[in-house]
Amino acid sequence: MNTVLWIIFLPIIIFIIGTFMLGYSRKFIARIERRYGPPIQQVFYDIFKLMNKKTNISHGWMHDIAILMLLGGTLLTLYFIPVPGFHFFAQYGDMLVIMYILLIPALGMALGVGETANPNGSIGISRALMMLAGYDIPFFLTFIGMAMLNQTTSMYELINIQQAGGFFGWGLITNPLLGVAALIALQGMLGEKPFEVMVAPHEIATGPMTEMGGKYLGIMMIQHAIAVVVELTIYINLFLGGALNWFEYIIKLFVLFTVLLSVNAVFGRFRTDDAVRFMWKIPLPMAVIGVLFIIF
Amino acid sequence: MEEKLTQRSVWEKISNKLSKRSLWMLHYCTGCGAIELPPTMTARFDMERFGISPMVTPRQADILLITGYLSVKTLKRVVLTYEQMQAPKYVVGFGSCTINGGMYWNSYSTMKCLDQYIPVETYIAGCMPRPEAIIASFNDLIAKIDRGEANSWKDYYKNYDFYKANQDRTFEGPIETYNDIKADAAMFNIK
Amino acid sequence: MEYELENFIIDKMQPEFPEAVFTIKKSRRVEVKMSSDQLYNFAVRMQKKWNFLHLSAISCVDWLQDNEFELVYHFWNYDEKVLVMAKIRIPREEESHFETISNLWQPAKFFERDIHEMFGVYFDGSEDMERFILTDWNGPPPMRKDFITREYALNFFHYREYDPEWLKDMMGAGEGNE
Repeated sequence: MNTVLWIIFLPIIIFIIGTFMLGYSRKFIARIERRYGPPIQQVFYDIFKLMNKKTNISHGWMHDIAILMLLGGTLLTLYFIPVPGFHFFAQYGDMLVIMYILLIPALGMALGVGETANPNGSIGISRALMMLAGYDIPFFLTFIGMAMLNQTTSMYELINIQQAGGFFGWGLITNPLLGVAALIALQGMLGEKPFEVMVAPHEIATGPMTEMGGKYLGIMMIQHAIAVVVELTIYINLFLGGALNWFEYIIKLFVLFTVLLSVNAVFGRFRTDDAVRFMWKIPLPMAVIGVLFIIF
Repeated sequence: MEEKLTQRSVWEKISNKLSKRSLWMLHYCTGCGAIELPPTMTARFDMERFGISPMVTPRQADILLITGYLSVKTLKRVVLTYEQMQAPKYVVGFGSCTINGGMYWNSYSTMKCLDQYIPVETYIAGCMPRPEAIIASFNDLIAKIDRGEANSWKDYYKNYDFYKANQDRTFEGPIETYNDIKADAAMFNIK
Repeated sequence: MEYELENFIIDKMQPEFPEAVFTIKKSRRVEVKMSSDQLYNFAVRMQKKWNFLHLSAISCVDWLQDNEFELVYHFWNYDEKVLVMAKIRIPREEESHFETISNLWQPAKFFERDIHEMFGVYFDGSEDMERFILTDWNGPPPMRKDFITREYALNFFHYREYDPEWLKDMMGAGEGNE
């Protein structure tokens, strides 16, 4: 019974945390630029307004289904990651399953955007998928490194191992190379500057989301809010010791997000080939050396 | 074109109260007035604290800001852009060129009165208005949405023949739009 | 002796075009008036023989009383830095015709398109005579002298009614526009 309640309410709780984090990010960046920002609940107003549009422009059934695939992929990833108090599915799926499912949202968006026949959307999707090839390889290597080190591929056991060691058992302290490489790759996965070329608003009219308005964009914003929390949780569970109660979990989420936002606020935007080249020059060798340390 | 205030349901009141706090403005800056928009958006006269932020495609924007004069060549593209936006949408006429011709009142190729071609919600007077005036008029627009009176987008569907006649008379031939307005009005049940 | 360079240029050109009238306007500015059937040969010789490689502009003047259009071709020389203006007259009709020089200078077609939509002069032989400034225009060519701008604008467009008291007082005292 407890499990069923968790299954129903977990996406809603994570969605609320995600919208507050996105609102917090806008306020934080505004304060760095020495102005007042929008209120923290601004993202709620945005999503409400988008879902409240009265006319709709659809481009066929493939377009509609692909958007649902986008949201569905992220929710599926959410269920397989252990959060404090709920790890029912996490014992059936381990890190390899999560690595696999993480690709579904990007593919869903590519299918949906390809249906609209707008050249801005196609350029945006090709850039997004190229960036995916850039940041995913170091990230997977760090997964594999942590799995080999602790002789397990289940994320729940990793949390327990790290918590047993106290502060010095965190993945970031025992394996600094892997931790820092994964941190840089995480910046690319979240789509923050300097790896924000996918959503470059002034160049290609928000990239893949050009033809989506109204309810489609509302669903994409919901997905973005949940995806931010999911990806940060993966990093926390691997390298920052996981969390055993909600208080510790939320504090770790906000501190990690603040560190990433501080880099976002002061950087420009790399070009696509520059970003991929950077990802393969700096995090990838660090991850490879980290894995080699573990083997020998 | 005034609209008689009908009784709003509770759901409409709540949705007006929540959706007035987030308006996205389309960056359509082809007149002289576009120079006043960057100061309004940056740190000194911060516009984002009201929830208004710039957006680059018409499919995702709510406010279409016509900054300044419109020649006949640009007017055709503005009409096409207006029809691609999703309802509810608001048009704000910026500067005196949209009110009665402004500085170019005796020119042969600029339009004089924006109200004849697309329905306009509010006007901002000035040549050019200062950022304080822009923010004051956006606050007026937000208050108007809150009261439930900002319904000029429905006017386009109801009086489409009037607008289309004016558009066809000004351009060289009948304008070809890619949206079928009458079919949309029937499909989405707009009265 | 003053105007040495300009006289040198005129002495090169005058033998080949004996009926053309050459005048020196000021330092480095030479004006040629000729008949309209000789212009194409003149342009060919300008470009290929006398090294005037740059066509600065083609402009048009409307002489309403003489009932003619005057086309002015501005040629510039990079080495000697002299501007030669060739002026010809063509009769003024509803749609006057003239030949194009866009096979010598490709960008000349933009000047010719501009003159076509503003004055109504059609240039035969050009590939592209589409409008590019006044698309969607369905009135007479607006730069002609018998096109009254204010009257056209007041009749064609719709204005708002605006009659405040202060404007009536000003107009009574003789100020303000109608």
